[in-house]
Amino acid sequence: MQEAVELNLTTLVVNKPFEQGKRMFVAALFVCAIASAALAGLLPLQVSIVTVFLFAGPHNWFELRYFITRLPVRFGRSRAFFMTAFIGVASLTVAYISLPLLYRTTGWSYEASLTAIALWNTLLLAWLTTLVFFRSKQKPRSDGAWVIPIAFALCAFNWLAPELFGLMLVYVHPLIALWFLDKHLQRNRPHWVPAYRRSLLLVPLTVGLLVWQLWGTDSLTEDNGLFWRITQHSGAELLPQVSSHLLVSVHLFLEMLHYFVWLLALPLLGPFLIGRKARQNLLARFWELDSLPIARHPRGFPKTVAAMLLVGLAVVLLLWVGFSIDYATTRDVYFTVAIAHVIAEAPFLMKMFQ
Amino acid sequence: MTPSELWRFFPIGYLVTIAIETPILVVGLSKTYSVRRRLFAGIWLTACTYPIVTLVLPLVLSDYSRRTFLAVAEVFAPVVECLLFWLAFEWRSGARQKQIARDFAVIIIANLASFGLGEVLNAWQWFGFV
Amino acid sequence: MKTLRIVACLVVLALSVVLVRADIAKPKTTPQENKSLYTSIEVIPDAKATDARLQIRQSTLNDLRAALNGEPGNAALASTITRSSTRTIIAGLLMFLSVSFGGVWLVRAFRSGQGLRRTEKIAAIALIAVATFGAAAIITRGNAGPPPTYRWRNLPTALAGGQSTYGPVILEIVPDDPNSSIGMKLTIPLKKQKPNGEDE
Repeated sequence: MQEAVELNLTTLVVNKPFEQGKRMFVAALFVCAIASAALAGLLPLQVSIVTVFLFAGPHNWFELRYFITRLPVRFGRSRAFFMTAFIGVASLTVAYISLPLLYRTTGWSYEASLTAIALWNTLLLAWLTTLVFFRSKQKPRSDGAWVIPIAFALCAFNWLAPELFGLMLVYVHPLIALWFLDKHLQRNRPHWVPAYRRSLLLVPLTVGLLVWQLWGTDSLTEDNGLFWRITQHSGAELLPQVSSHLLVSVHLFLEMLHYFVWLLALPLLGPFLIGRKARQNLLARFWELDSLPIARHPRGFPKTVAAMLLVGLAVVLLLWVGFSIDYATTRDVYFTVAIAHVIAEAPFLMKMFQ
Repeated sequence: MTPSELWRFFPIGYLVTIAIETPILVVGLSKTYSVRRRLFAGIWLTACTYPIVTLVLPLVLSDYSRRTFLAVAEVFAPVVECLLFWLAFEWRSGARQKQIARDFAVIIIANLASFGLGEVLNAWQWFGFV
Repeated sequence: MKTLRIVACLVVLALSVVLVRADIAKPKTTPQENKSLYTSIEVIPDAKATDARLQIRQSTLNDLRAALNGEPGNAALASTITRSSTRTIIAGLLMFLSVSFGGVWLVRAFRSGQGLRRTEKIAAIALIAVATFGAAAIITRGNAGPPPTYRWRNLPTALAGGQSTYGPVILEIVPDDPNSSIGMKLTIPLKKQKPNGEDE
């Protein structure tokens, strides 16, 4: 009875600004998308440098915080799932970091390096398939067998063109954040979901506009190592027939949407209830540990969580220092190690499917 | 043949093969299956084995004679297609042994027909299209 | 479905055996292979030109240099997709497994009378999308389209009409021929045509 009263109070508290909040959210999404596309199209290299400098580290910190939010206090039936997830993230990250080192020290041929990349991609797909199976076991009447043919098909595509498969991951990864936001809104702002999904049409339209405008443009200058790194990251070497201006702009646009979701949307749009109490403010306060179930619970780990977030903050500061001293090298190191956050998104996204 | 040539041949050969095998399967398979299912079987069974027969075996058996390749390929394809058909359509479906035997025979005949026409086309070098 | 998973495990085990065998049987190689590069060329008849000119893009020259040095260079996607025997074998095996499992799962899902649930429909669409994308990648970029003879068949007509013709070409560095002083030779795969336009 008391819960019902509290929930009703919450509804009264939020009802008035509710529609305004939804409109503001959609408007923010539109403004972000349009501004990102304009900046990415006009000054792709410069904006890429600035956005990575400013937002790469912080967005990883917010991701870490969000993943901690999704961790249960006790794994219980999800033990196998989470153990597989953590071991997979660690192993795949170590393997990924070792690939360029092995390539340099062993003098692999180009074909051997492609085989190594294909093997890594295959392990990634096998890990994802295993996670889907574990997740399906936890849900009644769920059958995860459908993932087998898809995994095999993706593996086949991977072995045909390992670098193209990797490039596909580069472009798909920013979109995963939009999926996270969708699941997050389903839990915390279900009435916003239809408006949000309609807004997502803006993404393919904007990408189409960028392609239309930039298709025939000259490729970007690659007269220094940093610019070359940025264009290669977007696939300029793999797709030489496509203008690197277009590739960098599209990738940058998607990355900026990615940063918008992790830095603004998800931290600010927290649940209305913290535990069983209504949130005092409509906007979440990311510095409050109480909003993390694993920290708030009587059998939780508040000190461990606080330590993890502090260490994360220190890494962000270190990253900024590194970018300031030697941007290109720090960028190389960051994008190698950051593969961990890319693959870590998978298990947490799966966990959000009810 | 090089992998490039095999890939180039792959879609054309697949379309020609299903053009031959699908009508045989539609006509010959047991009438307990709807026409749609028989059509699906015609397209799907070849799609399963065709990558092995066209891409894998020519490269794996590149050091062996064409006769060996044909023997392996033309045993592999019908055997695996029969197994897949049985797994998909007949396992735990209550199908009688007579029906299963008939369906297997039709699949084997379809494979022999596409093999035969393939040899004829090879003799004419696919009329310069491949 | 449990049986399906057991079969999947057995197939993966069998796959490992086949992969070992695939490793043993290597494709034949010619004793001396010329360094070659897969690219494209456009033949442009120009009534106003006074010299024959062969223009090579900087990136193509870089690729050629890399090919000569045995380095990766800017290998075009088309050539990397379809030139590797090992990866073609593995891709073929995986395609077989994908289509086999996919078809069995689809048929049995419908056989159970439940049809496809929303997740399974999305999965089926994803599978078709992957297959389509992969096929498109092969056909458009992987030289799996019409053969070179098809691309060049209209060259005589185009030359006579002052129009350009565009098609694939293999840049090949060959040993010097002491009996010839010709620096470069361009061979076009062009079948003779009968008076009625058919190929001989």
